[in-house]
Amino acid sequence: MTRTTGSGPVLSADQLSIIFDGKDAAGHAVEVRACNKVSLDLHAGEIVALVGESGSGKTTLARAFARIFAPDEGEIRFHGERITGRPKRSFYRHVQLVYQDPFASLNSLKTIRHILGRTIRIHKPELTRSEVTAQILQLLEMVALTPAEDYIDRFPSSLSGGQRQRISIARALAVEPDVILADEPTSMLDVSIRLDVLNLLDAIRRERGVTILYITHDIASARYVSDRMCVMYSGELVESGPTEEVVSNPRHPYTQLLLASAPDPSRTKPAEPGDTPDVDEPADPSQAISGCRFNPRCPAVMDRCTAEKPPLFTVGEQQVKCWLYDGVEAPTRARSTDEEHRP
Amino acid sequence: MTRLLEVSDLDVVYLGLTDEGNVRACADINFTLERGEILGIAGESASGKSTLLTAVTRLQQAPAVTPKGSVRFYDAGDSEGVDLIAADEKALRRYRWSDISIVMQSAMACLNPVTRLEAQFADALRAHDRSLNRAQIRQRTADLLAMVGIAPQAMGKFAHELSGGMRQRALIALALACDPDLIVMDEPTTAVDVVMQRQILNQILRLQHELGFAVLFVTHDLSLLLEMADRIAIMYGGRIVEIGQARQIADDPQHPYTRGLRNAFPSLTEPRRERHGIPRSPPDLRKLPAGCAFEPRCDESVAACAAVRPELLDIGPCLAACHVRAAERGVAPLPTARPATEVIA
Repeated sequence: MTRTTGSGPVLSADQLSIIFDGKDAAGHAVEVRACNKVSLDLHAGEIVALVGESGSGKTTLARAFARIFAPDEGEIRFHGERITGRPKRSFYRHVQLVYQDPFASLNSLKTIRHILGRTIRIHKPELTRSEVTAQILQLLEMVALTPAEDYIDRFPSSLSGGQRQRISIARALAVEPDVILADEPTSMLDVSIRLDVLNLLDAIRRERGVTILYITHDIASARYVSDRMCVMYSGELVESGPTEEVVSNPRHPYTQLLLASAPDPSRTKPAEPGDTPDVDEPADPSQAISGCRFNPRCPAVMDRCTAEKPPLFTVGEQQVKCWLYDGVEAPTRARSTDEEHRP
Repeated sequence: MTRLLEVSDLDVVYLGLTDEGNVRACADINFTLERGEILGIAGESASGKSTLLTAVTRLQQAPAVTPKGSVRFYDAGDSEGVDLIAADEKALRRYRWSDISIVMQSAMACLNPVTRLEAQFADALRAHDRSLNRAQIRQRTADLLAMVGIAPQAMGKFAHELSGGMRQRALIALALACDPDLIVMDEPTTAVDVVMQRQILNQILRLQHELGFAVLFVTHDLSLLLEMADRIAIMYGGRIVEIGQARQIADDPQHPYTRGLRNAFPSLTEPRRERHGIPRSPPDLRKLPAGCAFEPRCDESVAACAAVRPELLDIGPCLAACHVRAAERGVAPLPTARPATEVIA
């Protein structure tokens, strides 16, 4: 795969759907759209946060980007080129996935030297043994496991969760990738060490220009590290925009609900317990819902929401999939075809 | 306020099955809980917080033992109290569920998968009041479910037919069944998504306001506790290192670990700035240092910290176990870390 330079996105999903066979509540076979017509561009050197509840399809989207799932509809593009049918190995030289659970993603029978060395040898077979060792030491230093000589011959079992996650990140960096897809990289870690893993991702982006997709259910950490934020709900992208815009001025009622629900250390216990509207559980992607998938939980639901699926509307710098923004600020049917973003 | 629970000098030890010997998961735990109060206990994994809950409720199982300390529970109008640690199973039965109930993290694992909700409520209700007839039990079950916002029809369902949030709420309703004075909650919202978590927390606060029970709430999420607890205890390496009003823990934390933890949660409203976690990893309870367990990660430590373990002292705004903080506030001088000659040299 050739790398083309240009201003276009490094990696993009274009109207991507991933469909699984599932069963509805009554046990009948249904198609489950874990991702439904999602379009998302990742540009060089940016950190994009993908935020959503469990079951919203964020991990499925990451796995589609990592080619673990083939698209059922739509396309994944790398530097503007379709990747379907292209060899996977050369793709993985540019795009790497970091998994959530550092206790499951490292082979516990192998040393760090083997775990990192294997990736280097696969992708750079021309290197000699001492060159591979030099690279491993360099990677360990990059992820702040120093002195690197102390770590290289250890087994994952002798490392803490945070250290293991650093090894997973080092393994992703071994191929000098353009893109790292980080799927909840901190959710298995103790809170006191999460921030430093996020700071490490930020340093990797700044120093090496790596594009990072940061997937999380923790919207506060997403705000901390990302430039752009995309919110997923029930398999669909419902809002995206510059992080500060989305957090300070959320447009979609779901984003508003998510932000109002997230714990914020700057708030303390109210004198009187507040009255909370009872909101239903998130929609299961196997559930058939006509119109907007958020309408059963939406406090601002209108007749139109149950009848017609909203397109993406552009509001300022944000894009929102909600009928509330039809006619607001000269709407364009933004990215319904997605043509204008393509090189 | 009147006292409900008093934990004194409590130790919990996991008896060693290996050469590494016994592990003291909780050490010298002291705290009190007033009637109607919400006390949050925050700590990272392996800080001893869940061990403490099972010891307080006497739900611990071998190899965990409590070699030392007492947990005194004061029933309404009982000024003497009863020591739950010393009580035998038969005596404990009187307190279980009707005075103290528990809500666990995993509702699916707590609810019986093969009986309908109704039968599980009936079990709990009948065990404590044999005079109840079928109709009364159904009525009480419907009332309890209504308190947590579940329709009465749900009592005919099995646990797997309910969503995660519904199951967790059913468990809270079940804990309320016998009108307890104390509900112990072990990460009750960790398994549900953030929107549902907010609803459940608000529901707990509302019920607590109406019914007046006290709550002992354990979680790793300090930001959650800041929003709901009256007081917060911070655990580290099996010990309480700071305990104070939620407001104080939020605005003016004292122990360096609490400060680190407080700073480890990015805010949604404060301006964005670079933050740092706490360097290095939490301690291994099998190999605790002689001095302060936090010393290897602490950026304020002095020589004494590695040598002498700090006691939990009243330092003014709160109780904290930190030599540096105690010396700063003139509560206790810094202990001499080494033999006097070395200090002079």
